[in-house]
Amino acid sequence: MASQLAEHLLNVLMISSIYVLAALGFALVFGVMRIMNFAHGAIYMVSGYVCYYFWVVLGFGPWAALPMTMGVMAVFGLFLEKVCFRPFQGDFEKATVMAIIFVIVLKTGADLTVGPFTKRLPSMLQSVIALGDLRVDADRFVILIICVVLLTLLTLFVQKSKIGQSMLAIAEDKDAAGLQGIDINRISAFAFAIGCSLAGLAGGVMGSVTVLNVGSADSILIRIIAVVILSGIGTIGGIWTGGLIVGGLDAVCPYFLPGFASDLVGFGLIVIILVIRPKGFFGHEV
Amino acid sequence: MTKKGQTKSFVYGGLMLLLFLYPLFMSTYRIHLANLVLIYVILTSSLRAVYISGQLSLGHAAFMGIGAYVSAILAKHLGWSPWCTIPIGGLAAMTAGILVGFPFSRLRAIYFSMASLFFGIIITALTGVIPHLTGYLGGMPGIPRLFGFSKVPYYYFFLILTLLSLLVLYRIERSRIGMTLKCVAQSYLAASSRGIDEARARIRALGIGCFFAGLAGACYAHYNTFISPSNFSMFPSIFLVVYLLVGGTRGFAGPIVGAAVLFLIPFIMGGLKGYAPFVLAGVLAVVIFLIPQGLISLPGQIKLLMGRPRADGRVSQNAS
Amino acid sequence: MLLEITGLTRYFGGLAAVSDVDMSVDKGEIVGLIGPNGAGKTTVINLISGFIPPTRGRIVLEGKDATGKKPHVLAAMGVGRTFQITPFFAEFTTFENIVASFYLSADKSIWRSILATREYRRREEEILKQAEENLQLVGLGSVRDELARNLPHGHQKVLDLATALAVKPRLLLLDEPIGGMGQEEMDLALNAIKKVRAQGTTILLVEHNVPVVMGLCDRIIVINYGRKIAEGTPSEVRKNEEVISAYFGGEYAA
Repeated sequence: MASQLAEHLLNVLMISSIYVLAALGFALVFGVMRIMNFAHGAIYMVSGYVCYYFWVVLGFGPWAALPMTMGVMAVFGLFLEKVCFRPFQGDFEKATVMAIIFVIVLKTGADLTVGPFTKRLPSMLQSVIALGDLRVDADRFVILIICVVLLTLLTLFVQKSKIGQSMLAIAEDKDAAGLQGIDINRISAFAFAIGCSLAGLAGGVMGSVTVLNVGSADSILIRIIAVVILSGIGTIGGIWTGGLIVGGLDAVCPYFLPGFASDLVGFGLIVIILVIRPKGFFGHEV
Repeated sequence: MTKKGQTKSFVYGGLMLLLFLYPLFMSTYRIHLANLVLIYVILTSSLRAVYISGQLSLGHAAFMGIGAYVSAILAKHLGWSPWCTIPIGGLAAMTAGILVGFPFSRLRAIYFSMASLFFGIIITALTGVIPHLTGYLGGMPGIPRLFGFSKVPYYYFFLILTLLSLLVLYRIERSRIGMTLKCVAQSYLAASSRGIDEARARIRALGIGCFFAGLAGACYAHYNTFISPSNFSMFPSIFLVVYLLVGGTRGFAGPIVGAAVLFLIPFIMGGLKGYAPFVLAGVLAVVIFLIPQGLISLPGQIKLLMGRPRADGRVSQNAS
Repeated sequence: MLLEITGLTRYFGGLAAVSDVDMSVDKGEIVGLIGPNGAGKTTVINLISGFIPPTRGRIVLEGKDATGKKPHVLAAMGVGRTFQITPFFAEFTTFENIVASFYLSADKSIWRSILATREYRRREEEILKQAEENLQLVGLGSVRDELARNLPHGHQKVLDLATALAVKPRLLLLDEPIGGMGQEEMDLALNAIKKVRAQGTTILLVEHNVPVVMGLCDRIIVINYGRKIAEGTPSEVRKNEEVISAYFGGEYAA
């Protein structure tokens, strides 16, 4: 019984931390460039397959494949920023269309190449961790650790480093930041690269927990946006909270409520928050 | 009538003739496509009605869904005639839009857009409340038809409905109502200091747009005889937005052109099968990079390139 | 009294931007509201026109309570205003801006708009006529079909005045109507204001340019640090020691 509880708790924490990873990438781009990268979900989805390629097809194994996936996605992020989104900075409408273009391209590409096959990333550590009476899946535990470590590193990076501070500054007041000499293009490139590499990690890691499928793009996107709405813009710590809430709701609600109702409750809640406190719990006015 | 006015009438008249004669020359498949295009034209134009008040709804398809489900349920389970249930579907969607507007139209534009992303999910979830009626995720089959099995009567019905809807929407946009909505979109300070209640205007815009979306949705339900929540979720909504933005936001014809052209591209490229979406993506990219003001600005741009004056008398790109 | 204000107070956080101000404006008067930078003049205008709700106090317009009501409600009650930073409808032309501002006079029914009934058309034609008059009154006839956003700054300010008139104001609040204008533009604007005044409109005017205010207004109210420090005719106020020290920091005490 306690083992089951521990298993569930671990699950919730792990899923939440993956949501946080993915949401952070989205939030960074939104904060710095004021655009919603609707393709973020698709990027996450593709990352799972990229990771599969490195891990299984090329046989590099998880510990090499994950960083490589992150690297590849980071480069992709740089490309996205420079070629596709920089021309449309601040233009929410055009950037939305641009993001949709990528969703179409990525999803169709995925459909055509891997769509019919379900792939599953193998377990990273084929073992179980035993702590006294509790037995939990080592995989999930390790994933949780990886996510938390990375998130901590990233939070520190954003809060302490010059680049990170610049990101927060731009998120708060773009014009003021520009006047202070911050190179908005350079910081935007960083935001995109980091964002995509985080999505890369999230996608790769999630792939070893569940199956890889093209449909994951949509479901993660809506959750990412829910997290960002809850936490608000311009806060990193807030994303943790948002992620925990959404991850928690996702994990807990299905036990008490039938499928549709948990969606209704979860997203209805988000919508109510938006009306009462649009800037989220921790963010500032956009 | 001026020469220009004469030319315009001639063109419109010719267009009308072609539209009404279309089914005589076209295969069933092409008539089917035309039916879908007509529905999407209504949908995208109804999105514009909301857009001109300064609200970009990323969940408009959800209201299409409300119209579709209400009409379908009344017709299938209560046996009412679709001729009655379709307008009821429109009214239901309109009511939903107004109700949604009360809390949401007070929000700033970007927050409204964020909230609207969830409309689709909430509709999907709502169908789960009465699954015995809606079929929930599996969809709802067996919706009573409006006509028989031929697609032709549908074509004429949709054509007339589209023309009427466009007429009404056009009148609204050009009238004091439309002007007021555009004021609200442009400046809160100016609008409210001149007596315009911003929230009320926005709710009105939502009501109008959602009515036509519901109407279109109900028509689709009784045409396709099958609907499912995925027809009305986030990405169908975002596609409507893309049709609107790429078609052009500066003119009433924007959504019409956008919907017609972009919807048909994957079908025109039918030979490419699964690769068709790439063509669509390519067209979208070409438009946003090279024709930023949308497809409807194309005639104007071409005239500029050829050095001829545009409709507004300008010969060059510079402000007059 | 057209406008009566008692105990008007507004706090922002712990700071009182406006503190216990009593003032009144009589029908047909043109009253000037002056004071050093940051004295709270624009805040008073925002409070009267409903863009900011007061923390305390009462505003009574023609005997009716006008405290803390929304801007569009006050516009319907007859409060028109211009702004320091002129807002306008950027996609509309000068003339369209004025026409759009006649919202209160228009037929707002959706059905009648769609069907373009006789009643609707009659009202719109009436509006077009009046808009043309306003356009000529303020002297913007030459830029009638220019996009509002392409107008020079001074013209935009005058356009602001023309659109404010569209609500057929009982009380017109002018917030720095000649701010940042060159001489030519100032003449245009002052001309317009004088014509409006001549029509009998009651005006409350906030302005930095003290000589202009002195020349234009029947009465002047001076505020500093959110409080009223003086009130009277221009000549009275000019000699008031507290006013002088407020503006010049005591250097020119008489």
